[in-house]
Amino acid sequence: MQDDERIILEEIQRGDTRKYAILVDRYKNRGLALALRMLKNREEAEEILQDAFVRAFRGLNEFRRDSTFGTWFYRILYNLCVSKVRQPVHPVDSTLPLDDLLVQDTADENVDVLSIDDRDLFRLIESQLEELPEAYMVAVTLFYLQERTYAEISELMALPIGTVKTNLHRARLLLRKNILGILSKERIDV
Amino acid sequence: MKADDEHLGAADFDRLMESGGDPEQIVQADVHLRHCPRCRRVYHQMVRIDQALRRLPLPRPGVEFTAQVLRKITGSHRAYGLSASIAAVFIAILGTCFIAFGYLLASRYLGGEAAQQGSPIVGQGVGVVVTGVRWGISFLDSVFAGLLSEQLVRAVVYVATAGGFMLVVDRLLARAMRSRLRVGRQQSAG
Repeated sequence: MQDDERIILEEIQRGDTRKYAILVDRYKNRGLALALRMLKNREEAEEILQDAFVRAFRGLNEFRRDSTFGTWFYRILYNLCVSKVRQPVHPVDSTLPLDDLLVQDTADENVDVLSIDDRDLFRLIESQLEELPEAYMVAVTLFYLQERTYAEISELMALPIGTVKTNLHRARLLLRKNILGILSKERIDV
Repeated sequence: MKADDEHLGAADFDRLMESGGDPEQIVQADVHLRHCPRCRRVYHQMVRIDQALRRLPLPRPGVEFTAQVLRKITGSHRAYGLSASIAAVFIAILGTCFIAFGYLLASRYLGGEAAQQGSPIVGQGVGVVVTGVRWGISFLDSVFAGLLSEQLVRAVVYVATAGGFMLVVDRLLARAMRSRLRVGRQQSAG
């Protein structure tokens, strides 16, 4: 745990609740990214995020310092989102061989993620993240945006580390495949 | 190692991206990349997506978000404080009633044998109160040497008793509230 986070938590425990604003500011954007992707509704996402912060505050007594506040908070948020979503929108198809996700023979050399600018790539990634199976999307969000380790994601999602790694790998392959597909389609449409 | 005889497979790209696994296989894949433009292109695409995922713009909740969370937390404190205040008033009323009841009984039995011997009606508790009050009245009576009326002296003793009782209740409630807000230091030290 970061030293300043430890100090902040101690001050909150001593009754200085205003210090909680520092933690809220630190985790609200990344937390919203996770909630937004899982719930796909901004209003609900902000509501759940607020609820998660309030629950985390009220549950500080139960927070054990063997993990970071961030991991603990994301677990609360993730569980709230899961209970809200109830069932995954895009179930995982783990039977598809990995190499089938690896599209190498793109006939059109002009279709390439290397040739588009960042803004377009961000837009494509955002749209395609929503199309990923929920387990992949959550793993990507936690790994890249929340900067959680494999072990933390494993703990958070209650999945073996190997499964987390596979999900991430499949997610990257799927994203590339889908983005290339869209770029190819857009080029044909033009 | 390869998806087919000529090109890298999904597992190779995973190893290259993660820089994990068998070092010899990573070296082989790396050598292959140098000589195969098609696989190199796929690898660069995956790296580009990987880097873009790390730099995806984060959504931001409303400007009032942090303040709203703090208001909710403070609100919960206020609600708790309010319930504690109501509890304090309730206990104070109960205490006052109890003392008033004792006062009536004491008035009735004071001077008689019942208070000293313990009446089956008032019970042992009231007997103790009556005895205490008798001592208080005797003490004040000796100090003021008949300057004050007996009724006034009694009233002072009962008000002081009720005040002391409420003070103790208030201290106990305040202590309970503080301990509720504080995370156990022993737990954090552990």
